[in-house]
Amino acid sequence: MISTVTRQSNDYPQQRRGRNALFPRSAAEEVAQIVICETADDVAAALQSALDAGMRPTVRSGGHCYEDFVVNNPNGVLIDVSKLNAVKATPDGGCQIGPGAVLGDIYIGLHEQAKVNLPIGTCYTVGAGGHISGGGYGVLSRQQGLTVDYLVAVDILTVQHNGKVVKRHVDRNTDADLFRCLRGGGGANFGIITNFYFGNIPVAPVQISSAGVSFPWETMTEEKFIQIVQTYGHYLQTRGQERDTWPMFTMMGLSHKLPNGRINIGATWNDMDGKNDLRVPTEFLDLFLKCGEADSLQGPAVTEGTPTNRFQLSPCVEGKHRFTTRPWLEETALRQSGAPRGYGSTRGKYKSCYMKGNFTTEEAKRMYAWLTRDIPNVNTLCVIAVDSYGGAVNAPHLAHETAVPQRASVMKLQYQQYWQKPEEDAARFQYFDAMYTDIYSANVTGKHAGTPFHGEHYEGCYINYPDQDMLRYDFWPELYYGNGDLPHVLKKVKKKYDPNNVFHNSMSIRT
Amino acid sequence: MFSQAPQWTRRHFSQTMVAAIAATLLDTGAPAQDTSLAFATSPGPIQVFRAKGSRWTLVHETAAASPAHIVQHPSLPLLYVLHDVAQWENLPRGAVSAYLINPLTGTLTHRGTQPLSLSATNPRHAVLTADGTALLVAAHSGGIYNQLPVAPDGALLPVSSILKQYGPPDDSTYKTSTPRATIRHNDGSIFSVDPGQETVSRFLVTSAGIQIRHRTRVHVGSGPSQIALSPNGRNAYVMHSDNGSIAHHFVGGAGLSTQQQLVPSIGGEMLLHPSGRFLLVAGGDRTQILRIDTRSGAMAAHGWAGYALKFLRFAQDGGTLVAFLADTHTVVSMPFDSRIGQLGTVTSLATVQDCTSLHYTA
Repeated sequence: MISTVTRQSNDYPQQRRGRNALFPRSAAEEVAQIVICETADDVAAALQSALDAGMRPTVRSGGHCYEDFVVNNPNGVLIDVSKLNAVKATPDGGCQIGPGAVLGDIYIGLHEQAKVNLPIGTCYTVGAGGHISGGGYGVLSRQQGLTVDYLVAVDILTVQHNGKVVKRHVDRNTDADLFRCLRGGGGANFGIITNFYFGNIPVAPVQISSAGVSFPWETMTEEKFIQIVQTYGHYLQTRGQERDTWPMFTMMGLSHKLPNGRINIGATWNDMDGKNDLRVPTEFLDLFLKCGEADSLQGPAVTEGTPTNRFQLSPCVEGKHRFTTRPWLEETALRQSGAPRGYGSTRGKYKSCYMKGNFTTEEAKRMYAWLTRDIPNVNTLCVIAVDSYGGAVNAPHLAHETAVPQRASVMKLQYQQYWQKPEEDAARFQYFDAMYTDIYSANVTGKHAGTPFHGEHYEGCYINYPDQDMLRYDFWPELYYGNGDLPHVLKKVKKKYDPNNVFHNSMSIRT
Repeated sequence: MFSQAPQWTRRHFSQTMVAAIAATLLDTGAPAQDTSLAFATSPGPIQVFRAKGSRWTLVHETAAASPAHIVQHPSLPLLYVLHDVAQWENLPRGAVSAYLINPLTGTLTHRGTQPLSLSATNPRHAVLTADGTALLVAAHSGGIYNQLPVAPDGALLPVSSILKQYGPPDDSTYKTSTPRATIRHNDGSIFSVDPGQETVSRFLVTSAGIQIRHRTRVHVGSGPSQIALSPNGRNAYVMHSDNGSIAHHFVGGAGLSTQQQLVPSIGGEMLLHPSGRFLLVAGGDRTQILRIDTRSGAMAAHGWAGYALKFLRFAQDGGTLVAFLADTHTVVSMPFDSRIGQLGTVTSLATVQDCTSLHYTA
């Protein structure tokens, strides 16, 4: 059954926006209506109705879009698929996931039904539709690969040249070109997805153990900062790519310098057999003892950048890190993310980078400089979250079978900034853009300077962490989709399956 | 980069408008709109000419991004110029700029640009509503119409209504909508031809937005690309881009009637004489003249002229045709004898490299 929210509805103020309070920027950008669907047929009907009225449709699953792709739709129709949230493990060792299912419910559903798992993300309330469309990754990715590496088919609604909705079931044999592009090409480029099918999905870990080390900003120096980040990067570039380390996921939170602020490095170990052999994460965390006085950070797994309770800290002892071990589902399903969608006043800006190797000294210096520089009159709260990467993700053949070309990276960075006051927008955007441009001018020169363009050091950016600042570069599609054949393939498929460019936003594929 | 002048605000726009009109009235007593100015666009600049008899003098040139079509405000010294681009300020959209005309000097002053909606790329044609309160823009590549409100002082306001269109309803072609030309009917409605959708649409454009009043599907593969309306509003002539044929339809209460007549033509560009008695079609290296029976609306072959013309424009009295001769890059004029339907000798007026549009309302 379809329910429609209009400007006159009581819940319009919440339904017209997502989680990022930045968008929509003004009343002029707001949608005319939100259509909440319960079934794939509802979605098809809502989409056809929007098309027949000459209105632009946008699609929402979890509402976590980092940019304005969904809610900046002046007088258009927002089709909400959050109720298409079924999670079904199938007898053949696969599963079906509705686009509206949130990640936490996927973990729970698959575990309860069949003790299986998908390597999806860590934010409980992120919706499957956007997450999986852009590739999908999480703490199990080094061990198990990306979410889309297990995708075997997709149900999707596309729109023909004549404005008529068509239901498609695409896979390697049917509309194979579209299927490839749906494996990481980004949400809402080609149509509205109504179901994901996965095959041969892995089992879930038995339990997760986590621990960390922590360094206070109070005693941080540039030299120490460089040593910390290069220790982290060197491990992931070398030892971290050996298979026995793949069950370990690490993260480093390079937070902006604040009173009582800390730089935290965490490690989680996916224990698959119940033996909980923690030698690999112990070996990893021990490396940081040479960086100066480190505190041992007890789990739960470190949340990058958030102030650390001093009661969780104790002096680091080599070989004896304070691991917290929890059953896998309990550890995973505990992760929440913010207020319910549509509420809250938190504004956010994000950037990303795939790194193929260690931080260079110049790069680290620039990071340090920016993390110790304040925006005047603003509480400069930001973090560069550095996730471990690689392992099972870096199977070269998958670059050609999916739309995720980044298969040689060892770290994935997410720059995050959060604030409350709209009057700080301009200053924060300017700071973040200047920071990013400066950092990625350390190793990249010429036309691509200021970006992590593909080359010796980087593999571009992640489409699920979209950044409209990149639009000023005419090569921005290559940043996200690589400088091989994929941008061309995406354009061709876009033209073929969405000839009217029904599904568009500021960073959708342009033909 | 052609974005809004940093100091431009609505208040500044209004104040400048008042000053410009006042200065004109003080100096010459002439109305703000000087009909002796003509405008030509090319891939780069907009050129302004002072048109005096058979002589056009270039008085001003201003850079602009792919200016493709000009709409002049009916009562204020303003031009609205479409930027035929696929990207504006890094986003996939076209844009429209407003320029203030100094009637004394011919100088154009940029007075702000409004971007179109996302995906409304390559705007090619636009028309003001009869009351001048809105500009309807046809975005060719995007298959989208945008409505931009026009303030009482002539300032363009942000897009207020968007209408997306698609290809023909049947499956026999694989075209998408590519709106090409718009024209205003006497009753205030706006007709638009779309060769991709293969339709002639009639819109109402009001404060409630763009509404489709009627749509006429023309025959498969015809690609209607131009439309002309008779002065009494009862007849429509639609050029088919596929083979250059021209169809005559009656204009009814809702939309177009079925096709009444189909005549072959050389294709190209079409222009109706202000009297409604002649239809000129310029294509290739010739110009065809069709005679129209103003009672029945029927067309008949009449004559030819050996000129390869583009961007045809009649003077308001219909006595002169102004056009662009592509092979010599010159704007030319020819007398048109409406008693016998004949073009006279060509006179060169000005040189314009790679002209993309002409605007002349003398």
